[in-house]
Amino acid sequence: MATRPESLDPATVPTWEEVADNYGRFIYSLSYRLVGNHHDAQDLTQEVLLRVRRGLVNYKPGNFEGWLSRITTNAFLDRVRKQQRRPTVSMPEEAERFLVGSPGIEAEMEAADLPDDLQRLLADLPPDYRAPVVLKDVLGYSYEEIADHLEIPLGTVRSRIHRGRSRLKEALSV
Amino acid sequence: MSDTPSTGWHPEEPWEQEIASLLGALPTVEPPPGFLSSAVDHRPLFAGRVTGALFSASMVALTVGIVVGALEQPAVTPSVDALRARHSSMVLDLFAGRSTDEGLFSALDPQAGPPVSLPHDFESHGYVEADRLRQAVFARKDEAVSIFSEPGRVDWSGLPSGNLESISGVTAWIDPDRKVAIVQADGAAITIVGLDATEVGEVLASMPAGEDGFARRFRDATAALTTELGFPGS
Repeated sequence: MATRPESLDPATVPTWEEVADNYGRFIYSLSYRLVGNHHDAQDLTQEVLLRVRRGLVNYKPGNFEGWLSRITTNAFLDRVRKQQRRPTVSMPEEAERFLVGSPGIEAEMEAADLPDDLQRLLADLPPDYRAPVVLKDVLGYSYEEIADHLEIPLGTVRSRIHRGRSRLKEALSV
Repeated sequence: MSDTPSTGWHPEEPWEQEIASLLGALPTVEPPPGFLSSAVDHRPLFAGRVTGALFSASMVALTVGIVVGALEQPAVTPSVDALRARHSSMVLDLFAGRSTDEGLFSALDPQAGPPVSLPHDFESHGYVEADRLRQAVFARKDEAVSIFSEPGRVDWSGLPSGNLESISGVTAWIDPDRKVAIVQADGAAITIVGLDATEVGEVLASMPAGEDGFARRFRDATAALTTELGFPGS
């Protein structure tokens, strides 16, 4: 959960400037984990900051990080849906490059450039699996919080996280 | 997504906890230097609060449109080697007395705006435009500097190895031999070739004063400069 920032006073609504200054890195890091590259992370971060600006008017003091996470993941999924309506180019299967039979996940990852390679595997997950996995395992949200963020049933959240992890495990075990 | 919700909850298996642990250990991803400040630099566009009935819905829509437009500028990675070569070629012609193609390289019209002179006695010698790249050349005796402008926002992560430095409050990429500097201005990536990094600071500081600090001053000045030169993004 290295990406979660220090909370501001939860009883007050921060200004947009405070959000950008204090949570910009958090938004960017989460964006990167979701999209998998810096270029798209920059675009997503800017989109999130726009949405934050528009949404602050109606924000009720509470879990601000959760609110930002919700905006970021929803902005990400909106982008995915837009892209799915356009022609896409397949990305190379980077995972196969380094995942040649070895005894265990930990050993595999130690032998590889762990953060970058794990990020590539994460980016290969279908977006609907990737978002809940990132929220759960990277940011540490509960299943209930994720269900609330993504507005999907709790059982679906559990299922997608389980399947997302399962795909990661398969990729690591090839 | 074709998955169906699971019908029951089951505890996480050890391998799931292992995956979760690996993901949880991923470090924070830092944005490229200057990216957040660049995004935050748009705050004047956001700063005005829409209060009462002073602004019509159309004004709000217009404002949002402008903001979206400003933030959706394409990423651009100035090609340092190509720009350096372009500068060298232009300068060789300039100092060899060879006339450059008048259609491409023309003297600034003094009536079109102040032909910008830079500190250290650099004077403008003209500008050239090709595709979306504009080049303004300034020279003194046997030295010259080019200022390139490309519309978009700098993709800092795409630049080659160099130093990212704060020059009087402006984030600048400086190449190892300290003769190329790249800065972000409103709507354009500005590449300065031929000046020492310290001189870049002096050039930037010499630009017209704005109301709130150097960064603002530089943005205003660059906008004025690019407007006078007819650069896009101004």
